Amino acid sequence: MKKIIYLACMALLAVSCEKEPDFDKLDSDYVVYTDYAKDTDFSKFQTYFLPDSILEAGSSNKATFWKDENALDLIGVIESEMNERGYQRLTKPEEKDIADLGIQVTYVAETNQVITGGGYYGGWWDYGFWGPWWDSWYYSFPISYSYDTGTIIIEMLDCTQKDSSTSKRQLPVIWYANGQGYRYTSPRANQQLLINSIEQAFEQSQYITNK
Amino acid sequence: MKLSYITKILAAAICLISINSTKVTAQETYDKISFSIGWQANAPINTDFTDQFNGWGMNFEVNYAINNRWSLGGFFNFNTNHNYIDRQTIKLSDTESLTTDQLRSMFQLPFGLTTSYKLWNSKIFQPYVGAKAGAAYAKATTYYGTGGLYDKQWGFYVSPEIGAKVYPFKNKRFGFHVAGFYSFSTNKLQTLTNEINGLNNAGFRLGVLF
Repeated sequence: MKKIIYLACMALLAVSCEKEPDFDKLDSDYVVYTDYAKDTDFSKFQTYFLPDSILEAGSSNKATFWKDENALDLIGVIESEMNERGYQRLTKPEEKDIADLGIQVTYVAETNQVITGGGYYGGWWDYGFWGPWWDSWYYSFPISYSYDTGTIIIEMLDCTQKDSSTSKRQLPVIWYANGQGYRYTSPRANQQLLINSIEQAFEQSQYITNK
Repeated sequence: MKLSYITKILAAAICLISINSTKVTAQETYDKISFSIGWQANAPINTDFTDQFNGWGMNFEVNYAINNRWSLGGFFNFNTNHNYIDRQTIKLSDTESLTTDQLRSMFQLPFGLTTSYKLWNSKIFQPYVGAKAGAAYAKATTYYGTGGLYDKQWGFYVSPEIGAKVYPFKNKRFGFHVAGFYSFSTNKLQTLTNEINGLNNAGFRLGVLF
């Protein structure tokens, strides 16, 4: 009898209660999120200004810009999407002031260094799994691992709202797009993921049109 | 003197009888208790989250036979159900959209009291109907992109079941257990795409008795 109870206890201990899913099933494409100002009439805009460079956020204390061929390709995808929707791109720097829309693009490359482990997102082990007594995690020794992510952010600004009757001179963001996912060792693959996410951002924002 | 001698013999006899009767009671109690450990498979119903049949679960029970037909005991079991959802665009609000694929996971762990009634009191084959009631912990997790989100809640749990206990061996403590069950718990869970208001499940268990 003792043997049976012992074996039953071993079986119980051997089985982890909550089974983790197979994360390999998730595709590598970026998660694309978009939002816009609800009352915006996108059909009233005719022109837009889109700089030929991408802000690299977080790379240093000074603003740095990504300007190589890959950056121009990404800018080109945005230009193509906007032109297809009936907007005209203004390219001369002095035309910035007369453009109806401004589009600014930002790229954030992050290496997430996890030193203490656990709890960095909702799917991590929950301390409550081990009983109601525990209220948090800690490591009694240092561990570390890292993963790389890339995020492209596109913001569309309404440059027509220059209201001289008020002291406020804040540029209103009327559309926000965010594509985010893991970065891989292949630059080509990463570039394609960024292109796909830009196209998807416009695809799910059919309200951006003046046609 | 003689009276004292008789008293001593009587006292010794009473002690022996009481010790013996205690042994019998403990043995009887032991015979009335049975344990069950087994594999459990289930499918959540109409959650619009993880309505897929998965076998990542186990069930543990201890039962005490109140009489020849009825037994009462305690249980706990757990189950995880996964479901992969292809990439799609989700409307999060009037203005917000999110395009991603999802890996959904539902974990349930109910525990409480269990009772059963033998429909046929054979020594080898004992079909029964039963019910479980208690509390249920549930956690719904959606993994997507580089992260995810989850919600976990407690609820009340009730589960009718029908099954059979089979004792094919000479050792009458050891046998097999098969059961089909339906369960409902009152857990309310918020997911990326919807709100789950109550969890319905159907499933079965295969286990050993000892």
